[in-house]
Amino acid sequence: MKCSKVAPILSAYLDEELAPWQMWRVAQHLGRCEECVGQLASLSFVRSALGGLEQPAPRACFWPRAYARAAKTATHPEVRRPMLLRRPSLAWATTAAAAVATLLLAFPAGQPDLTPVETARGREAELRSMVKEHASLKATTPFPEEGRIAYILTEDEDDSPQ
Amino acid sequence: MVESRGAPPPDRDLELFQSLMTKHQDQLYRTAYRMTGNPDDAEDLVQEVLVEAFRSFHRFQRGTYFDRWVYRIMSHTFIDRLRRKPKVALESLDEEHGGRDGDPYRREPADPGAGPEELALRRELGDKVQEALLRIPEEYRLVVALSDIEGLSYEEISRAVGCPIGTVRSRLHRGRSLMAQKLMPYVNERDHRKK
Repeated sequence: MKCSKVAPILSAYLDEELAPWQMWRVAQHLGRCEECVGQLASLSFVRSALGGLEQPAPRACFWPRAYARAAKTATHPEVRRPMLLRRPSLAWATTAAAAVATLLLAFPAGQPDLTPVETARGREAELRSMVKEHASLKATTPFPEEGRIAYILTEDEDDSPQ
Repeated sequence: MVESRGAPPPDRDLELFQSLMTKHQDQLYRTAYRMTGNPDDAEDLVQEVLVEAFRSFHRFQRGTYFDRWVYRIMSHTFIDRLRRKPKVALESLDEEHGGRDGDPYRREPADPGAGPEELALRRELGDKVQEALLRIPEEYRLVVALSDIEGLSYEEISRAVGCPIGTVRSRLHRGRSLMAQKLMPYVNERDHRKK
């Protein structure tokens, strides 16, 4: 095992939190690498220094007060702001943005109000240009769904104003 | 229109909560103290944890480890507090604290066998260790405190903090290595002084 492999697992070796085969290989490495032994000694020092720290305790009156306060807070639930005054969450903001985008796409701003006849004419012109485009595309690339365009035309004719 | 956050927990829940909590309150406070570095912030942190834990006590699954569940709440609460208040005050451990109500904070009795010089050295080392602990990133600090102060296994820390064992292993190693870098110059100097 190389030092670069051993160094990151030295703490786990110290805590005996490695698999037995890893423990064995690290031990083998430590038998011939003074640098890693030094590093292990530093880690061991930190661990024992932390373990030897004084154990602080709060004031004697802290716990009864803390429990009383916790119970009081729970029985008087946190007052939340009314719905309209609350800051919107990310999920709500995303949903609202998506809804606005959909509406804008469906009803683009600035589009003039058209009569049903004008709308039908517009659709017919659009359809004709689509058919034309399809014909030129079909000349270069054969289209497998032969019946599809006829279906669209039939649908459009049925919808056209009488 | 004001909305409440749900029905208040019944009194019997408070009794059960308190009986479970009492078993672990000392270790919870110790960890909070080591995480924050001073008794005032530690008490505030523990208080917040108690409120949050009691409020969500109905979500605690009976038969699972209560201390790990509370540690998990503490981990989230601590990170939230850091976001709200980024600066954590450093405080010397050998300073005498005057309690807010006049009673000083209780300390563990010193080893009666140790002489004054030895005690002074230990306290100095304690200060340095606490200072080094406060200077490592908080995600490492929690793992280091749970492992080296509370003696939890990697698996226990993984459950308490809510991250994989591999992450615990790397955080602990990095935390200890950073602390070693900060402490070793002091240790070498101290050894030199002794000679």
